[in-house]
Amino acid sequence: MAETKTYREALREAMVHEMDRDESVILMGEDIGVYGGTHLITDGLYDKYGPRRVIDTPISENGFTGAAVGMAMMGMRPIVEMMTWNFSFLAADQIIQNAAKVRYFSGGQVKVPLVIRGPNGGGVQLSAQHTHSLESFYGHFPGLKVVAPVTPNDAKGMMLTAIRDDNCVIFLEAGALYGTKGEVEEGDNAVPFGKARIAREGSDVTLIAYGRQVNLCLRAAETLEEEDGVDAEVIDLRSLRPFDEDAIVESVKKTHRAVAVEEQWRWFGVASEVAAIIQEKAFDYLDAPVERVSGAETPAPYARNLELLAFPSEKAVANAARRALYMEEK
Amino acid sequence: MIMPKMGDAMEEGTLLRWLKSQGDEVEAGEPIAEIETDKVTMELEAEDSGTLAELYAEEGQDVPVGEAIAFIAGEGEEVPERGGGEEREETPAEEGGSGGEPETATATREEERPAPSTQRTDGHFRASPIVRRLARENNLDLSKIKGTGPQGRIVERDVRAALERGGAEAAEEREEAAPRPAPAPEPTGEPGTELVQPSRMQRIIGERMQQAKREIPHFYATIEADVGELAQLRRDLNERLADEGIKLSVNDFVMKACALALRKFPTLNALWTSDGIEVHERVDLAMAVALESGLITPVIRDAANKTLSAISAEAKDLASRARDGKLKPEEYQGGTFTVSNMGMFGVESFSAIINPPQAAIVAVSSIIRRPGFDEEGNVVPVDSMKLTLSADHRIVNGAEGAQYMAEVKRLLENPMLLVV
Repeated sequence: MAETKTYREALREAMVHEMDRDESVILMGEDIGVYGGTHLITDGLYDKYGPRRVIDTPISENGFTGAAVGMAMMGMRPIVEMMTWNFSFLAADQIIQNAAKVRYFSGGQVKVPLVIRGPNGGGVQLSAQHTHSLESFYGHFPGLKVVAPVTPNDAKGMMLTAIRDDNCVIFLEAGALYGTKGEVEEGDNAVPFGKARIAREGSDVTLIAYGRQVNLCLRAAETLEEEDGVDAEVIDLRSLRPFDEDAIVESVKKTHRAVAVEEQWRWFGVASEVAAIIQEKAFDYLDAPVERVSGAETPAPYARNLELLAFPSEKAVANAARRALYMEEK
Repeated sequence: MIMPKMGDAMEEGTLLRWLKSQGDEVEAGEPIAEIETDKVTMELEAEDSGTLAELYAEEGQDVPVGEAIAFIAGEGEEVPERGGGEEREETPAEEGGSGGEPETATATREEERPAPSTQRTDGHFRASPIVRRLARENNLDLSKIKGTGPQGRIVERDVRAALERGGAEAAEEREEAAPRPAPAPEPTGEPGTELVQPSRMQRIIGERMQQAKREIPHFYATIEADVGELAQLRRDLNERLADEGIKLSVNDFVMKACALALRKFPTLNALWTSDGIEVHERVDLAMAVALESGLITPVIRDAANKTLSAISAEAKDLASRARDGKLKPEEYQGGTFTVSNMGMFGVESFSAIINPPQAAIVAVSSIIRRPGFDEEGNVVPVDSMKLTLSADHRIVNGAEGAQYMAEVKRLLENPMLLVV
């Protein structure tokens, strides 16, 4: 059975599912309790589980993230909300130096089953200090898992997997999509990490994305089909670490052309990694250089029109696909 | 008559001169033309008797191996139609199909093959990886496919289209990609300058040496040998052998020493081949001979097992015939190691370019008398000769090269070892 729910509701449902099942699961963050969360993800949970399991914290990212790491080491399963992922820079020391490394330091004796979640990227006019895509930043560190679901069903399923994981999971929510709706499976629909999703089957070119860019690629694929008769395949990576190399390679072997799409800045990014893997593992199948579509190399602007210009557009993706197909850009 | 293949590396020859005219009667075995290859000038003999009915090549024209240059008609035989289009696109193989192949075609049939396509490219074209893969799998010649991608890149759709047009037609053996030479600057045209076209031989030598310098990782090792004893022994021997007409040169001793030393270090007596390093047991010693038109390296077979006098006699014969352009291809091909001597020019030291596919070459310089020290530390005159090894580092390592040169030095400084 599936029911139509928002991305926001799907996340909440996953947390409720696990909090009901496992008493060690607790929530922490700024304004997540009485207020219900800035993004209303935790709305109602304070009333349901009380202040001992839904903990309002002071504005002190390094402090409460450190506390969460300690709790996790002692057997709790905390879920920490970053009001936006930008604020996690204040807690980067705890995340990178402790959460990512304690299990390794202890020879596997001490686990850190910690989920850090919050809205990633932009698209909602919050300007440069609230609009940041941190997938490459956190994806760089061994010891962290990094995931970025785009559908409500994946938001729930991957949150279930994240809470059950014994490692620190960086859960990058598509902040601009909290209100979007989609079918969500009832009950336990845990989605394994490291397995990409073919969002659209196609034979002519592979569009590879994650997070809200997947939706952009799906729209670009429609355009390509209508205007050019091009049958594009869209791959939703879902999880960036672990990373589903096979899905990309298999698709490129089929289409011989690839476009990697990301909202973040181009340099040292996920699209670079995608391009590198294709070149390493599917070189003999390529018919064109791998195209990359990325955000503009500038702090995110506040103004709506400029913000739209700074992020990849449907047109930019379609044109990149056309370049990969040796067709005229439009 | 077709352009014969007079050596493994020969791809085309220049028809220098017709010795007979159209319409002449010719006997089998009678020379009818002079052909210049990259190495020699040879007379081309008629293979059959008959009338020299048609000359297809003009004097000075370069003709690919296997292409017809003349037709000798037997009694009552008609000159075959050569078909439409440009003659040079014709190949004997194609003519054979239409029954037009001259019956007097060469005796070296097994070497006959279609002439290289006139659409030959320089081997460089842009092609996407999948295209190169498809070409490999379908035995496609990419140089024949027009690319529709950026800057003419051949892309998948071009190959698919070519395959659909008929794989068989397109499926020709792909020619070896030739390296693209860097463009040379335009002539200045200044007063007092003269433009001279490089001869075929100069061009070939130039290409081969350029390729060798570019592709072979050369390393060099120089030794200095005290050849006083050797010079004395040579004088003695020449005095005693004068009646027999034998006159040993210094180079004969050096060649013998280089060949003998290779017995101890067979790694240097090797060829770099497509399938691996071919190490030879027998030393087929090539010796560089300067000609007016360039350089040639006739080969003394099994030099390590020949006596000094035999090497000497053979070297003289080869060198003199080389200068007359009378060497047969088998006499200057198949060397396994080369000695190049510039001693006669008073050169104090030099290093040579490896003669591919060989592993090494030894450059021999003049004997120069200079002050040295004896065992007591007294200054004494020393007859010194410098020898420089150039070796292919893919085949030989530095230590091997050095040990080999030390052995050459030991032999030269103990010349009796070269006589026994």
